[in-house]
Amino acid sequence: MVRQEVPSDWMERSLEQGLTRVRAPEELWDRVRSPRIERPGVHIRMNAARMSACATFAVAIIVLLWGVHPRIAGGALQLRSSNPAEIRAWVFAKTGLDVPLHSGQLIGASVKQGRVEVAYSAGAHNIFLVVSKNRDKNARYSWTADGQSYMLACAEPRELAACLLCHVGG
Amino acid sequence: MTEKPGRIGPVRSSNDFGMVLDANDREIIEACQRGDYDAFRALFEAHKDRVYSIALRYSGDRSAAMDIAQDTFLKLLGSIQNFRADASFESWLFRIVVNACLDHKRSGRRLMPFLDSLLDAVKAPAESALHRLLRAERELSVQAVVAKLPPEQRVVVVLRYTEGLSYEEIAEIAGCSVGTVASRLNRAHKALERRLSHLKVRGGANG
Repeated sequence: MVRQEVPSDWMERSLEQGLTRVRAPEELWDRVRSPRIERPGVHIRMNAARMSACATFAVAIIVLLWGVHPRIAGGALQLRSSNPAEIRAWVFAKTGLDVPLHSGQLIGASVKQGRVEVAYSAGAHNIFLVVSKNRDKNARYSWTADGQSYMLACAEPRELAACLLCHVGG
Repeated sequence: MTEKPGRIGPVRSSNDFGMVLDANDREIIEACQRGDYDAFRALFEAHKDRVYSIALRYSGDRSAAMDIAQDTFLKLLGSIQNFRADASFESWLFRIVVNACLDHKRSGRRLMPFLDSLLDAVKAPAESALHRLLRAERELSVQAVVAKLPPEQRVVVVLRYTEGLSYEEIAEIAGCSVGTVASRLNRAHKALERRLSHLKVRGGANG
C-alpha cells in the first residue's frame, strides 16, 4: 500500500491557486498551423555566443598571422620576392625607375599609378618605400635622390624610425 | 536521492486511466487520422488550454510554453496515425506534453513575467486592488518555487495541481509506479513547504 502524504491545507491551496489552469493564447493555433522552427529567444543567444567565439578566434588568427608571419599580410603585392636585385630589375622594367635596395626584410613590390611600392616587413607591420618621379611635399618621411622621390609609409608611424636608419641620405 | 531528468517511457496501460473517449471524440480522432483539417482544429480547440497550462506551469515562461504547446500539437498530428482507438487519448496526449516539457531546453530563468502577472491581477474584477496584488505576488512565489524543482518532481506537481490528476493517473502518464509518484510528490511538498513558509506566516492562500 502506497502511503500518500497529504500536504498542509495552506500549501495545497497555494499550489492549486498558483498552478491553476489558464487559457491558451489565440496565437497558439497560428503557431501550430504555421510552425516556427526557429526559437529566436534561445537561438539569438546561442548565435551571439557562437558569433562572439568565432570573432575572437578570427581576431586571434589575424593577430597571429600579422605578428608571427607578417609576410602573409602583404597579399596584394604584384611581385613577391626578398631578392633586392630581382625587385630592382622588375621595377625598372615596369616603370623605368632605378631603385637601389638594401637586402633585409624585403617581401616584394607593386606598381600603382606610376609609383613603385617596395614592401618590407618590420615587426608587426609592413612598411612601404614609395618611389616616384614627383615628390609628395606633404609626406613626413620623404626625400629625393637622383631625381627620384622616396617616401616611407606605414600604418604605424613609429615603425618608420627604424627604416630611417638605413634610408637617411638614400 | 537525486533524480535524473529524462524522457518518460511508454504508457503501460491505458484502459484504467478513467478518461475514455466518447463517440464524438472517437469520430474526431478518426477524422484526424484521415487527414481532416477541421477535425484537427476541433481536437486542438478541445485540448489547447490543458496542453498550454501544463506547459506554462512546468516552464514558468509564456514563450517557452508556446514552444512546448506547439511541439506537442505537431507531435500529436505527426503520430496520430499510431493512436489506437481502444487507448486513452488523454493519457496519450499528456504523455506527449510531458515529454515535450522534459525535452524543452532550459533557457534562462523560468519565471513568469512579473509585470504581466501584476497587470493581469489588476484587471481581474471583484477583488480589492491590494488583495489582487497580494494574490498575484503569492502565485508568482509558488510558480517561482515550483520552477526550481527537479524536472520529474515538477511534472508530477503540475499534473497533480494544474490537472488535478490522481496518483494512479500520473503514474500512468509518467510511466512509473504509484509509489514513485508518491515519493516524488512527498519530496516536492517538503521542498515547497520549506521554500514557501513565508506564505504560511502571511495567512496562506486566504488573502
